[in-house]
Amino acid sequence: MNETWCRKLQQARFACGLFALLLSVGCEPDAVPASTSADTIVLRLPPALGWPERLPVAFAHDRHTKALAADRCSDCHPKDGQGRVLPQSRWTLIGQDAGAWTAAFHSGCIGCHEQRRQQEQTAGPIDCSGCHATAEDAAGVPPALRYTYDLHGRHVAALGEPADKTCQRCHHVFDKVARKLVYRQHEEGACRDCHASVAKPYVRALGDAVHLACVDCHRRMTSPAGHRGPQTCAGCHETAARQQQAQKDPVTRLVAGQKDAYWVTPAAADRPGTPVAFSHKAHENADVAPFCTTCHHRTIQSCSHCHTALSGSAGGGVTLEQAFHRATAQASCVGCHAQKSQQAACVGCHAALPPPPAEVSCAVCHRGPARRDLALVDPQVVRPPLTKTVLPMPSDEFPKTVRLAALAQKYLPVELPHARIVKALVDGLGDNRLAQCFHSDVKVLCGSCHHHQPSGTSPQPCSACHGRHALPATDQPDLRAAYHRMCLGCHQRSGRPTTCVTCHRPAGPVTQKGTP
Amino acid sequence: MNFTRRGWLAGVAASLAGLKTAQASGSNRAFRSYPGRLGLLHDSTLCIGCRSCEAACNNVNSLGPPADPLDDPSVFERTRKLSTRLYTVVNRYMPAQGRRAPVYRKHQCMHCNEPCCASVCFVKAFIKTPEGPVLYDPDLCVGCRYCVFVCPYYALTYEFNEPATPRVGRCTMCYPRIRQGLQPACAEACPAGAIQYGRRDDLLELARARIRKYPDRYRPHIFGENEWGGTSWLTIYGQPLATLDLPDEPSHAPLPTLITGHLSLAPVAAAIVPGLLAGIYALAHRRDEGLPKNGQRPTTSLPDSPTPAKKKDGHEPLA
Repeated sequence: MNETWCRKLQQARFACGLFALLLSVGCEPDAVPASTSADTIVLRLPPALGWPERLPVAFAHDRHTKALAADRCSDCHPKDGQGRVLPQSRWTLIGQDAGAWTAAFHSGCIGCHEQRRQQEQTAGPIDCSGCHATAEDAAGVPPALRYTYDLHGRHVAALGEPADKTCQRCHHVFDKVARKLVYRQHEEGACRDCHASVAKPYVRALGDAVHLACVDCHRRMTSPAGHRGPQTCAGCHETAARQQQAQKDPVTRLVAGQKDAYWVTPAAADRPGTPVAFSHKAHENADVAPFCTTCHHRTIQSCSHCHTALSGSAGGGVTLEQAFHRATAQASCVGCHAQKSQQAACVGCHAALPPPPAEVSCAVCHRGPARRDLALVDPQVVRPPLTKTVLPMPSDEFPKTVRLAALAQKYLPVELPHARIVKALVDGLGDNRLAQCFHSDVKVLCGSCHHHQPSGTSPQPCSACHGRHALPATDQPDLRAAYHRMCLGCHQRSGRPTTCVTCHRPAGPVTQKGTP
Repeated sequence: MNFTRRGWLAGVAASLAGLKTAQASGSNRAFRSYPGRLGLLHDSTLCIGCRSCEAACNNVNSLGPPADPLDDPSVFERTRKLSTRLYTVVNRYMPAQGRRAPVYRKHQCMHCNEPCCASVCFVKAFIKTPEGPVLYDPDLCVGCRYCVFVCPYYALTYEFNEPATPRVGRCTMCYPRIRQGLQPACAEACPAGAIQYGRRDDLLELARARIRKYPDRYRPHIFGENEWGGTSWLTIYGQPLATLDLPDEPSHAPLPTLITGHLSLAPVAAAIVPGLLAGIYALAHRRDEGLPKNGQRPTTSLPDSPTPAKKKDGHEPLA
């Protein structure tokens, strides 16, 4: 018995020891989620080289930039033949196998850290868990940068060169015949017209192209006023920092060969149609869209360059008609106008309407002459009127108040402040030119409540069609529901009061809690 | 035991009888609906949170006014539950991203096509009527509260405070009013028309038309059409179900079918298992010489002591 007991104790000790050993070896440091600051680049082993043995590294680029003296980019980044600093580090380009890849990074990073420690400067970690401490699923992409009129204008102003020289610095196109990058006037497009998020043959990825063009220029050049562009990640990618540098002077208009106004015609050349007089100049400001690329979402050319009548692959399957009228697209006319109608001042009425485009509003844009006369007429002349909506004078057709007494039971009849409501709608239009285009005639505003009837000078009241009972066949609510849905719906959406006593005064004695 | 032919025939007959009863008692066919039955459609996007439905329901069921005052908007700051003094409740929910107006939804017993409460009640205190409502008879109820426990919409409540005759509290779909041809009190009281009463098939068509007409406003789904076999209360809504305290994509199979399959096996088991076990016993003891009679020792095939062999042909036996 003694023997077996000793044997069992030995086995137990062995098991505990083994367990403790496994426990100590298999532990990773607690992974912290990567910070979402603009300068964090998450370094992880490329999947093609195998499974990683360690957690990814969250590389804080700006910390390194600030720690090193100026213009020490080439410590880590190689330069190309023209002296431009390439965006990738010199170790990223070593790609044979995982061992070589990690050895290159370790010798580069840890080598520098050790060197600085010996020189008693602030240095990064030299142990494994000092760097390999990011959660495995951390995303390594800083917030995307979108150009705005203001940003573009600041660059143009900073360079301070004549117009024909300025554009060449950044804008180029690929000449297929000469097989090189050239500058062509009036074809200045956006970077992402050709540079996609991943590299294609002979075309850099967007990130590489942009960093190569922008950061290198910031590194080497100063503006005539002595200002140098930002060289840290946060300087461009953090919107707060960008907005601090917002330009105070008005932005000069970008002229790339576009006219002030265009005739936009339906696709088929032989069919008559009612063209649209499109004022390009009126749409070229930050109130409408942040930049040209909002509408010119693929190329600076006109819409019909890619979107044809029969949708082809170039247009992504979107016909020319859909390119203008699709209500859910940001780059289409109707889609952008629909988005604008969801603002707080507009959504009260517009959320109750069926989805656009509404046939009654076709004529607001489509008001050109017959196609054969187009060459004779200047589109500027035929633009939609921008007159301010006029509030009618109180009259029989436009009463100041309306007494709603048909359903007065628990509450007294409601004195609807009719003129005040219409005035509030007219004031809500404000100086918004888009609103003025569509609502210049006040009868359009009448139609928001006096709906499902011809637009005229003497609209019918609600009780003309809404009876005591609902009509399920046409989904028409009864009169009480119609009143409450129309009024309270708009009040709810536009943030106006929605309590019963806002409109109703109780008829009989009320309870202690204020209900009849 | 003597494994006789008679015994075998009797066993087979008993098994067949058991199978027949099993087939008759349990079946998993889902019951879709009584034709032409009634329902209600609740449009959550039209609900303005006035709680007139709560006041009207309490009035019709003689429950006294709702505990929370009707004109106090702060009652919406917490999600209220149904109670024995509140057969229906309107709660406010966070609006979906990009929307500004608060979202309200009315909750009450859903009057399911195949109600779990009726399925689990062993005294049959719940009845699913052909008109649509599920009715509760407090006189039959024994107070086990199994129905309160099993309702997937948490729609039933129990009068714990009532010592003598506690009852289950739930929406009745105003069955007496429906029989008189009136609307349920909540549908009549709603000033915004967010509750519509009618035939369930018509309401489904109406809901589909409304969703098609305003695709931005609604989610393309009618809650209650098929969920757990379908309900009489249909809801159309504009944001994810989980944000409105409704179950998201539950199974279409009625919940009682989860157990009817197993329950239907009980008579089969009762018929077969005794016969099976008896058969195994018989097989195991077939070499026995018989069961002992009263008072006798069991006979075995082993001899107690060596008995002298009988003389055969006048010769002595060897050894």
